[in-house]
Amino acid sequence: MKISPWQLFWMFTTLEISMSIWLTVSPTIEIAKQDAWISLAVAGVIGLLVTSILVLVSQRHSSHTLVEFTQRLFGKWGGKLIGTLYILVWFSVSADILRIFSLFIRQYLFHETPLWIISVLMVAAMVYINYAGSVEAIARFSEMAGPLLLAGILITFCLNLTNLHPSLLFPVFADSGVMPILKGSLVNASFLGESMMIMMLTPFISNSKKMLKPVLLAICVPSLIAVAIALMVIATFGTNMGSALFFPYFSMVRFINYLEFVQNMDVWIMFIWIFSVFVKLAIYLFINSYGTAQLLGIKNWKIMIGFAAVLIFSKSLLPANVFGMLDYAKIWVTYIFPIFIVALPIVFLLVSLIRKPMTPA
Amino acid sequence: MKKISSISWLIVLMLVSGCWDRNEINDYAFWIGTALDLSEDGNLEKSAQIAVPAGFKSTGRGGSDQRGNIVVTASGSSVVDLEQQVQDKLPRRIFLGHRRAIFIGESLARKGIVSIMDQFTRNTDTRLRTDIFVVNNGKGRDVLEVNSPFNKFSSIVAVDQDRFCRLGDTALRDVLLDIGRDGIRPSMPMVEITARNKQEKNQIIEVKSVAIFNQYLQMVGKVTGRESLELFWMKGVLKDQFITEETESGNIALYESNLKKSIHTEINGDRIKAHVKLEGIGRVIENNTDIDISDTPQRVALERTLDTMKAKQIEATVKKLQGQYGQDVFGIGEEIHREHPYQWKKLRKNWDQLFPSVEVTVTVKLKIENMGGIGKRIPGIGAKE
Repeated sequence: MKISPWQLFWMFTTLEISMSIWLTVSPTIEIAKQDAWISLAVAGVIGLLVTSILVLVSQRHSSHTLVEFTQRLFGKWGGKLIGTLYILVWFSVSADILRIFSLFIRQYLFHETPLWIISVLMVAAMVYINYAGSVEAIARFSEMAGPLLLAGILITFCLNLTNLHPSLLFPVFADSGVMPILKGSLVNASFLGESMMIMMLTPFISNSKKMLKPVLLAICVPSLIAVAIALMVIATFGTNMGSALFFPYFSMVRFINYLEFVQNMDVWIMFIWIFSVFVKLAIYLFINSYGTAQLLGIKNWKIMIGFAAVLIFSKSLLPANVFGMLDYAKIWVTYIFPIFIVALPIVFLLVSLIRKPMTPA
Repeated sequence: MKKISSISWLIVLMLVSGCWDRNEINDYAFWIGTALDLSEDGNLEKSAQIAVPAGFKSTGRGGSDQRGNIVVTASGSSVVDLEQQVQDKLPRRIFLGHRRAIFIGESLARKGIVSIMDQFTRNTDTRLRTDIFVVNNGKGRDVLEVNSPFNKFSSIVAVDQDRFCRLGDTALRDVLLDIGRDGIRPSMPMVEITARNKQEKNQIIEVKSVAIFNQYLQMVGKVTGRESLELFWMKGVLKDQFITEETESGNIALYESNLKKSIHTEINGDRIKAHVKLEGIGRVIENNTDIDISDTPQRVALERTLDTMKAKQIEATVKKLQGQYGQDVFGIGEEIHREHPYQWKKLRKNWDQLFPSVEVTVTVKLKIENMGGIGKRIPGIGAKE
């Protein structure tokens, strides 16, 4: 069974939302002040453009993954080199997300539990879903988790309305200006660029000609959520607190006190948010093991799941720095985003146009 | 074979996964209120109001003989976290997630509270939803020791009683909001213990003043009673209040709700003007004048006199605050920031010097919507006719 457009939409929505409510809002507010929401809207537009290129590239090679079509475009060794680089990026980002996820859970929910236990539980679930049903199972899971997450976020928005001071959103534009807004938009735009994993997934999508719309919609929805969260956070905490708090959305959810008994909703939100991180990490595990298997020419890619999982897990334990993800985010924004998400896919597109002009893939 | 392996996996899982974060509710000491004080020898004192669950049992005869909580005090030479010292005095692990209020002794507030604010936001166990008070002429510890007949915890009583602004438990957030902005200076409600009769002694706390802070978070002054209400009305956080006015023909008391404010600012060269408009909807609760409020012409005339009187009072309060403390607790600077963002960039740095010379004009619009059960007062009927 292949992934339907509807499932594709939920898969990408789920994995993009996890970032918009978690890591992007605070750094954007730091750069663009109370105009962070404009930044995030701009980021959404950038994300749409980038993703359209990625989808075009993938559609031209709809029966091949990135590892395969780069070998067709650049020859065996050139292709393998590019493929390896991409796989390395995906390994590093998944290890990093796993690490910051475990640290976050430990900081907010379990103080005494060893870090590796939290990671092991997550990795075990990732391995299980990949063994049980590979990427189709993940797609079906996100079809269930995505709506739940979206509903949860919308409920918190409604409950937070009483805490808002809309005057904190003004003046618009005067305190930041064009450059800070654009600079601030890079953070979320680069996170939205995680949609580059589509280049590994096209062979599993049932109708790749129709995949542009669901994927672009899956960039729109998380961008809108991010805009709304920025508006809410700024109107609740102002720009200083909003940028000082590492996870302002979760602090905002904690701040909700509706009729004295709807309180401490952060546990619920974290609960469903874990689903979305799980979707993201499970897809990364799939891509990493499938891609490695293709690179090494191994027929049964499922053998690689164990190796990939161990690799991701052990790498996630390496850094000692508590907020290492925020450092990694800098690498992601300054190197990985321009090279791997913008430049290389454009090169792929051009080369593939030159090699096979006008013939639909 | 498969069964054996799955069973052995289960056993391994059970052995490996100890419950690191298992915490029974009766292993916890719930920390309800914090007090921070400066002792005579300059040490920092931290007191904690800790729930004693056994005290909850005797609810039948009122809680005055059972305290339901204990106040624990620790002190240190510098501003360090004194949690360890508090923990040393308790048989249970302290839990900060239920802290409702923070009380700061006036002497500490005047010295400055920059160095004690971080702990309230950094610790992810605590909630931002906390009330914060300065204790007027007193120590925070004394407030924690009050044994209110309404609630076991004087901290919660203070939060519920924070009637000025009804900020209640969002006060800490609001103070933090003000700290980070150039055009407004923080102000926070004050509690005090002043017994007026035997019953009140050690049972009643009063919330009737507001502490004014400068940008370095040092308390520079306070306003009490009507003036403090006017301050919060102009700041836009007051929801309702009682107003008593002395007109020429007698006094009249109103209950005002739906209070609103809007500020409009003007910059003409060096002169900064702020037009403040305050609105409210009122219910007459006492009328010792001969005015028949049910008669529209008379009522409108009354509204007008009340409006001008109130506006004059508020203008006087603003003048006083500008002259005495010079701190923009109203947020007029923030209003300039919103209305004239580019000019504000030049003003923001020396706003403390500019604020005392801002010309503030106040217009008040009180609408009497409800006059109570009678129109003319009853003794007035005979006297007039």
